[in-house]
Amino acid sequence: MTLPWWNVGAVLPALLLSPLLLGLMGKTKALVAGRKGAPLLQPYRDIIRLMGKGAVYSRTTTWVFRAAPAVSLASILVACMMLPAGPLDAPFAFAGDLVLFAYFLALARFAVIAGALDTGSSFEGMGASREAAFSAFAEPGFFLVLGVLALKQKALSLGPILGGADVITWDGQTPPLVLAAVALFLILLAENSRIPVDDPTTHLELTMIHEVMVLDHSGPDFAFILYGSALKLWLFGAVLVSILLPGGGPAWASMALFLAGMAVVAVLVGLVESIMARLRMARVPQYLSLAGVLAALAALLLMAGGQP
Amino acid sequence: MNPATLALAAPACLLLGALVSVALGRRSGAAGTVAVASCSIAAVLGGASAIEVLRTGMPWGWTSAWSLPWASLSFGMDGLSAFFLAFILVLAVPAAAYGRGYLAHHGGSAWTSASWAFFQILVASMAMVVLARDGVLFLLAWEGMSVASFFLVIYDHGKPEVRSDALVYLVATHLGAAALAAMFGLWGREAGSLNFHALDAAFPGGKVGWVIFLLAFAGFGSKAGLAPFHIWLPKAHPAAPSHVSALMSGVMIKMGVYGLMRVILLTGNPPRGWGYTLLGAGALSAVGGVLYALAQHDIKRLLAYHSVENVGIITMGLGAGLLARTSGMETVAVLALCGSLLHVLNHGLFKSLLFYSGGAAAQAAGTRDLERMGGIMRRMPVTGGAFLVGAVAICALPPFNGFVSEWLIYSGFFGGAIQGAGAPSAALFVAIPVLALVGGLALACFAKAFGVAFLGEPRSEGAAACREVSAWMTLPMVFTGAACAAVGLGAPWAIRLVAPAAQALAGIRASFPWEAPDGSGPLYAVVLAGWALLALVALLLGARRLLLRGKTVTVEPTWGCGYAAPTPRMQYTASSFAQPLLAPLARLMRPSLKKRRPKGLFPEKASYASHYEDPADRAIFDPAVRLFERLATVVRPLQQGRLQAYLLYVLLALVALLAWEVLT
Amino acid sequence: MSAWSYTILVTVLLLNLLLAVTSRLSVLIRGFAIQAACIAVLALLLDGFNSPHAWIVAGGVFTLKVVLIPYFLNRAVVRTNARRELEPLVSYGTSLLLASLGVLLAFALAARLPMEARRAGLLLAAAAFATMLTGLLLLVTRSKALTEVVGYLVLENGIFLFGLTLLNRMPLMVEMGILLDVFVGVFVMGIVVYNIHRTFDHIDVGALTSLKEEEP
Repeated sequence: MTLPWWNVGAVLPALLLSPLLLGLMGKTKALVAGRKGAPLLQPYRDIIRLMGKGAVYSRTTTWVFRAAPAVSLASILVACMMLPAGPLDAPFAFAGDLVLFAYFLALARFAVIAGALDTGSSFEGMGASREAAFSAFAEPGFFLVLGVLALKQKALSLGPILGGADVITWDGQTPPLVLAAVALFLILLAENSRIPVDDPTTHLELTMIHEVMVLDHSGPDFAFILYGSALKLWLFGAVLVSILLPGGGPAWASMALFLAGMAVVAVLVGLVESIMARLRMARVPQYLSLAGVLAALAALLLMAGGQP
Repeated sequence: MNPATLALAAPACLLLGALVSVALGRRSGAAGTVAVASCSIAAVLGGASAIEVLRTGMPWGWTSAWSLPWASLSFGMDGLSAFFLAFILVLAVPAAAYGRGYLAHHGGSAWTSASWAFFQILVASMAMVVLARDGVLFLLAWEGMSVASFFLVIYDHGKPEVRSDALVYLVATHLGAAALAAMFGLWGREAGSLNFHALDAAFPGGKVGWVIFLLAFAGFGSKAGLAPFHIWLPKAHPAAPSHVSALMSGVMIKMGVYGLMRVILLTGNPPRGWGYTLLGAGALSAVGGVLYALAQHDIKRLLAYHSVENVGIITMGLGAGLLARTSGMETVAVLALCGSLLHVLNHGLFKSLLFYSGGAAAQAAGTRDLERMGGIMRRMPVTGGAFLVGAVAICALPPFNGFVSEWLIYSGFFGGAIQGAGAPSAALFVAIPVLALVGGLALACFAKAFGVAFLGEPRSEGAAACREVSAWMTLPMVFTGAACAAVGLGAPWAIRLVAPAAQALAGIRASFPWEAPDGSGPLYAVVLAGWALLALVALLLGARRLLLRGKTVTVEPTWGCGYAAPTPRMQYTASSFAQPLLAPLARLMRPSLKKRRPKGLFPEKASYASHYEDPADRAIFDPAVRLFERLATVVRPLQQGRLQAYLLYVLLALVALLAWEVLT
Repeated sequence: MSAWSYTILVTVLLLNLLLAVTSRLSVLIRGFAIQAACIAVLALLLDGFNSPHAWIVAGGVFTLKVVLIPYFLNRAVVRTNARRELEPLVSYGTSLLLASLGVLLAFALAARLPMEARRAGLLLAAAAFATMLTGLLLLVTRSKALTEVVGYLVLENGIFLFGLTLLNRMPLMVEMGILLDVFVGVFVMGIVVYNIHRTFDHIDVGALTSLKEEEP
């Protein structure tokens, strides 16, 4: 087993296009609401402008606060290297990388939570507490989805389990895969702080989760955080799209299909955000357990042998 | 020197050190230094011997007759013993050094010197436990370990709660020892001898085999702190001084794991049911332990519950290994067992680290209550950094050691789930989300513990007045922290410590699948990802520095969302932090809540307190204590206080024995 | 079994989960009706479209359980003005958990059936058991009379589904008899519910305990 590190190019779509997802999402929401909305490239401008700014640090904070955005972004970047992009194989692929993928995302979360607690702000503590709780409830569902894919493909690496998963070919294992994809979409919304779990555009700190955790970050630090959440959205979206899209065919065609799929995911999230309201906090664990139950049902169906 | 002599010299050196420590009397500082020295020498001797066995793969055994009935003086070392011996002796050194600093401000007293003697006796008897190859010898060493640790726990015997908690520990550990004695008795009756060689050949299958297993499970499980036998653990760890907590939680409870593994090795071919039992009990321990850890706000109690959780993870790995082995998936079994064994080492490292740093913070702040700490990172940077490393490692986050062992265990689960078929595979698949849930909850719990205790503003005057502790205490933290990083970033080498034992437990002689030295196995990839992370973090921090060059960087108060006069008491508390996680589980965990709601237009006082009582206390411990009390009342009239009455008992006993002799 | 019938069975399983967690009576009734429709289609799929037996059974199920019974139930909802089950005996989160455990149990049970009872595979029997268990769960944990009726109907859906595993052996008369039985049962219950409502102004079965004699 060797590490195909020369596939570094597979990371490029994520690095370059992930902020576009946020733009697309915002545009969808604006259009549904009958507004014109910010330009598609606005997230890029935000990130670049933040990079050029100075920074303000809280008197309470220590080096933990200053290191948190870098650690968080770095671990999301490592996770990026394990994910194939459409037809391109991941540069960092080996048996068992799916666990590593999930745990690098967890490290990113831990860093941001620690940074939030470092400010001593009660609001940021509140956001940190909710983020920790909800992602703990989401974790079993996410691992169940990975387990379903591994069971389906009899493999332990993200490349083969995503490349081989193929809902479009209508065989007996389609229903479990669809269930897993739905569960993953529910988890995607929760993990990326989207409605119905979190409202990224709310203006009341009491009702925020992710946004309130990063209130005190500014300048390049905040740019790292913003870019990190765009990448994280890309990662979850890419897993989802890879489950749904067929493999094979010429590389340019599947690449185009993959990118189109990513755009559809962004629009879909935008639509969900436009038509749904945020759940009450107390209902979120139920929402996440629903995702877990769907994924568990998918696993059960696969283990029962699929279509006879 | 041959490895046998080296290995046996280690406990001898420790016992000698114990004698010297006692002899030093009131000069307890010197007694502590003696302990550090004897532990270091023992670590060198025992470590050399263990490495020799691990390197050559040649086990040794040494037997001699003994005057005790049914016993022989029998020692030996195989891969499993070698790993555990090195583990015990090496981790005892930082614990001793830390204790030398921790006890320094207690002043010189003979009791402190005696405590140092017990410390060395504890380490020596643990070494004897893993070297013993005879049932009686094993039980004697086990008993030495229990008694020595009891005296260490009761160090602060002036406090009544310490006395009662230590008593719970003494009773629990002896109930466990009783189960072990019964197990050896039952097994020895089949084998005709208590020597491990004899036991090895004569494991009875069927029902007797199951009884032996359940006795071993109860006896070793209670030492390991597996739920529901963990009752003593969250009581004893907070009561003991921190270096003792570290040694007990990091090392001593692993003797229970060693015992289970030894029994499995001796049975030769364990039935599949054991695998299910261990996997299930491990899952219960892991989830229960982390949930109750979340509910704690005493930092040492929280860490103690995390020991329950981690022993659960270790046991899950062991159970998965057995399931895979009995289903013919040897490679998967090796993965899970390597993970389980490596987690023994890793938990020893990061739990010691956490007890060192958490204990130092608690000592400096004058409280173990998280709600009264805060802001310690600024005041004690080394201690705070050490706790952060420990927290990241125990949450199994890369790039530290906890991740490597959990990754191996996950690989066992996933591998078993996709390779096999039927019930064993289904059980292994179910274990995946359980471990994921435990991971998520542990992350929340350590974000809470680290964030509330070390970050933010100090929540009490004690916390505000913290100062960094002495080098005696910080150096052990640096050592164990560095070891956490080294195992995490050098896993392909660290795994060689446990690979022989894992192969023996998996029942195969083939070489470990990832021993390929060309740097190509998945484990190398895991480690590489850790290095990549470090490189990227350095790169990003450098980039930030470049970006900020020449820009204005100001330092202001934390943004209070428009509120003008924030105070440290307005920070999010540990209880509030855990609330969103625990509230949905209120039905399950049944907290007792005391609420006083604000009333009226100008509310005066309001309060809220939550307390989570351990269900094992409620369901097992309290009823058991009540039962014993009732029994004690029944036999109380026997206690007359008159000499004649006792002589009468002696006479009655004598007559009864004679009658028995005559009648049979 | 074709991919279609497989998909339909998965839908039946999902509907069970929906029925266990929803608090809206209209969703409950609609969920039941869709489940019944799924079963009717399944009866046709499993026996081929040219078996008159299957057409009769499917037609009967469709007329009664997809059209008539939901119609009556919806009327009862409108008349009694009870749109939500607000006080279930266990929370909806627990319900979801219990229903999922029920699915697990159903698969375990189905795996133990003798082979000839698994004509159409493990999944059919598992879905049948899961549906029965969901019906029982609704019966046990809900307190509105209407929800209880739906629970009973879901239970019957499960029994019918199980009958499908043996379809070509179960005589037509027995099937029709069960269907008719259910219809009459629901009809009577509908009348009773309506009358309870008229007399007591609500349809909470818990309140029926007040009908017993006073303790002296």
